[in-house]
Amino acid sequence: MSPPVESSRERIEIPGGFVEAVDRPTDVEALSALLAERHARSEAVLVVGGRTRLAQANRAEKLAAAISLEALAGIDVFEPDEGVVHARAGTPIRALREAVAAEGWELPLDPPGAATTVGGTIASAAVGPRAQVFGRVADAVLGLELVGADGAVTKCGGRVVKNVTGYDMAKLYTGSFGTLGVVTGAWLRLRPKPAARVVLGGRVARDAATFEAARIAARATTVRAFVWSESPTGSAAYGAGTGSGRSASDAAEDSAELVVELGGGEAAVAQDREALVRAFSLIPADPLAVDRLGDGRAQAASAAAIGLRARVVPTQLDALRQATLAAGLSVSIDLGAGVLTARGGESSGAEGAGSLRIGARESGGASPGAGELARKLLALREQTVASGGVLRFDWLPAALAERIDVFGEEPGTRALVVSLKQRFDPRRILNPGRFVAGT
Amino acid sequence: MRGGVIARLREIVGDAGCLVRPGELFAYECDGLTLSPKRPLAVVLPTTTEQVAAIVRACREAGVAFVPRGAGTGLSGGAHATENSILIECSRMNRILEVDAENRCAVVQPGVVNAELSAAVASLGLFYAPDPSSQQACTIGGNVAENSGGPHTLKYGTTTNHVLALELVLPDGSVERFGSRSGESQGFDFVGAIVGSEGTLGIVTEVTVRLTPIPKAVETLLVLFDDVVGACRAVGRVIRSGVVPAALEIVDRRTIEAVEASVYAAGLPLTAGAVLIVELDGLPVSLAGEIAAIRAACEAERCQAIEIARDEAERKRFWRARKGAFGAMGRLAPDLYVHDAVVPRMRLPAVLEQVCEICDRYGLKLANVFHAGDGNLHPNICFDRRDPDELARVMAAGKEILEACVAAGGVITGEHGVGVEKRDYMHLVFGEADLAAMRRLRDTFNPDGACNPGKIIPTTRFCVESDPKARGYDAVPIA
Ligand SMILES: Cc1cc2nc3c(=O)[nH]c(=O)nc-3n(C[C@H](O)[C@H](O)[C@H](O)COP(=O)(O)OP(=O)(O)OC[C@H]3O[C@@H](n4cnc5c(N)ncnc54)[C@H](O)[C@@H]3O)c2cc1C
Ligand SMILES: Cc1cc2nc3c(=O)[nH]c(=O)nc-3n(C[C@H](O)[C@H](O)[C@H](O)COP(=O)(O)OP(=O)(O)OC[C@H]3O[C@@H](n4cnc5c(N)ncnc54)[C@H](O)[C@@H]3O)c2cc1C
Repeated sequence: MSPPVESSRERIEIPGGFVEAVDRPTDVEALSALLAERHARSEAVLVVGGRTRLAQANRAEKLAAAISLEALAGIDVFEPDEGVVHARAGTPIRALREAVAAEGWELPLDPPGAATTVGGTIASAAVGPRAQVFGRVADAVLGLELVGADGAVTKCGGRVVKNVTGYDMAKLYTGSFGTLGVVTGAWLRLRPKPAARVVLGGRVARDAATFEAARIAARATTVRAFVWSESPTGSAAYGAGTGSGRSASDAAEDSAELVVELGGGEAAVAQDREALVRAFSLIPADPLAVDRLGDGRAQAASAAAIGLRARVVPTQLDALRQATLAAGLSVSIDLGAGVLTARGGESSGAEGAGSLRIGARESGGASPGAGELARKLLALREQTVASGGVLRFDWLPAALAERIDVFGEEPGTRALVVSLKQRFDPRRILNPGRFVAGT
Repeated sequence: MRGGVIARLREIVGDAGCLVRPGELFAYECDGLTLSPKRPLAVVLPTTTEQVAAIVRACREAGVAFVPRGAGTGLSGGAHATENSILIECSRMNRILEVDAENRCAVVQPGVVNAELSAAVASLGLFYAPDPSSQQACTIGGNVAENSGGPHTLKYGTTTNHVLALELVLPDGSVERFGSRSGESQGFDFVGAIVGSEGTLGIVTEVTVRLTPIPKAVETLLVLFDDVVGACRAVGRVIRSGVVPAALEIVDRRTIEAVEASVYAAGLPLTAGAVLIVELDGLPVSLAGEIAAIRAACEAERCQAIEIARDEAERKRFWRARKGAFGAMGRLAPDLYVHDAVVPRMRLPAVLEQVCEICDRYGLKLANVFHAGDGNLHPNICFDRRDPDELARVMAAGKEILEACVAAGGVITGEHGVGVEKRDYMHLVFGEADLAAMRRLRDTFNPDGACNPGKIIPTTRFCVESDPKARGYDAVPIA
């Protein structure tokens, strides 16, 4: 019989610190006992799932070890007649998607990364390119089981699709980055798999008029993902591999790349497809293009890389796009959902913190200092928030991490945030310091 | 002291905005849950956020509790006053502040009536999707507090899926904003936690809601079955078929009889044991295929007949059977207990049989009209409260119904909320640790319980609060 907790020596580096030991509880009781023990000793832990996004955090306070959910994995209940599934936190999202697809259902979660887990996706509220139809992570979560900071085993919500029995605690836990409790399992709502699915791609002029036309086109009923990708110079930014028949040189210069996924009834998809092909000269693309693009844009290419994700109302998207490009970052925009992801700084990895660079525009001239870069990025956040949106950083080089809060903060909510954390985790043992407002 | 607080409230909202005479207060003794009424000390009718904040501060200074209220259509007693509390009624905060058609959202005050919002944006090709059957009267503030649903929840989701941002007067009188027009929050999702909190975390004074494009085409089907179990089975087949109807509603024989005998008469045949209303919407090109799938599902369960609405008038007639149900049931008995519970959809046939058995055993008249596609049951029990024995049987049967739903994997409320009605049934679903987590959320916003005391969370002998004095407001017995 395997021990209830497997432990190993392993070094995990995260912003502000590191751990050198990882505990893997194999059942909920073991996790509960482990946390109760840490709680008694006031020893803080780093919670990890698939480890795809541990860098997305503010600087951690002192940590004793990591607790990994990877041994708490598997699908416990899948009811094809009901369209719900229960999975343990360590279950890889991709495996879950495949399992339910076999019965005609679709998991409305498509975060990037092959290793990404159910628990990590819920903890980080990570959405993928299909957010315009899938909605937010919380929309898929019917109920959760968690272990609290003191080891208490709790649940919230349920397994039914409609429920107002008490506070909607699942909303609070979803996107709380493991600072209020450790997710051990989730009831998730499924949606029927579309009868027909089509993926299209192509390159278009990168001007405001085309962008606006694409933004409107993304509202068509069967559009599941409509991604506009563009670099500051107009060269290929993310290489989704749209399988475009045009030559590489043709595609490379001064254009934006479109990847579109349609889904629904045959006739409706055919109708939208025809309209899109006519409007943007799109051609058939790799069926996996959307997921590959999602993965591609989320990979930090170097230690100096900067990544961010913003969400704004549709009419503000173009202004944000232009400001982001002007800051030297490449953008990839989910037009229907109003989500912009951006990255840059890939070429500057070897250089020290004092000479961070982003984008090609600056590569010739003198490199701005970290301070100036930080100011630029914070100005982008200010612009986003002022226009009714949010912006968080996916990753930041060390020199910037000291100057920028990864998550930002809703003005006026700090006292509530501090009070909430104090009530759920008074000894600050769950991911301390990593989330918003010092939680 | 009481006189002092009322004088202060008058200063804030003017004499006309502050009701204190017994005759005026009578209508505010309860909401849609008419059992165990309680008279408030006063009812104040603010028109601005600043007034709400000033009212809350005045209540705090006087040490009296306060209870937010919208239109008072709630069915779980969420807007019931407690002894010596002030009701803050938001119905005069009824302005639509902004409609942003391009970004498909609107900013409204909490007292805007649900149906009026949809009417106001219809010319823009938009509507506000959550459509509780009470939508002609209930307010957006009440909807937010209850996370209300409606017949079209199956496809469009409940209120929580349509609230982007909120302004809240906290129980300490401070004013904060949560969320953003983009629908996301920076940090914790407080918007998600406030929706459905039944007025216990503060008073919502402004709501930014999502607006939805009116679908290009709608088809409404009326399907007749021998009995309600057959209709439920057909619902199961529809769910499995991959079609997501906008609505899947069931009306049973007793309800049909009541409707047909009332002003809502929809011309339904009294030979049917149950009616299933199916609404499909979307692109015109998709609907023919979906209708075929629904037909197949219903025929497989040997339905009696399928009618498809030929025009808008007929569509309205089909819906009358559903929307007029509660009003019509008023004919069956002096009182109606509207229950609300949810079960996994595939368990509907079995649970409905159990519910009928329970009511038969207690000798009670049961009528069912419910959101079948969501598994959301509304067993309605007709009774006469003047008969204490019957009232006792209604309460006992109600508890057994909830227990049966929980045993089937369900929960004790799908849209009407916990309020005072189901507070002491929370243990059927949640353990002490689960409730402790809910208390932590409440205490973050409402540490001494002054805002809507005694709702949702049961007080327990076992629970030792860190500061026993702090829960003073909850010590007031409720019923
Ligand atoms: C290639 C790639 C692209 C990405 N693109 C996007 C994107 O476009 N949009 C987006 O929103 N995100 C994006 N992400 C983020 C990523 O998808 C999510 O953060 C991911 O779901 C995290 O899953 P994980 O299992 O790897 O978690 P980890 O990386 O292990 O953990 C992520 C966070 O969640 C916490 N956590 C993990 N498991 C639990 C648990 N069981 N209980 C409580 N807390 C827990 C951790 O402490 C940590 O703070 C991307 C990631 C990758 C690798
Ligand atoms: C005939 C009938 C049919 C119904 N059908 C449905 C249905 O289909 N679906 C459904 O979900 N419900 C239904 N209901 C229940 C009820 O209409 C809803 O719960 C509705 O949202 C209540 O709104 P209200 O304005 O009447 O709120 P009230 O009853 O006044 O208050 C309800 C709760 O909200 C709180 N509240 C009110 N305003 C605020 C505010 N501004 N800030 C904070 N808290 C506030 C109160 O404290 C209370 O806890 C029905 C009721 C009736 C009578």
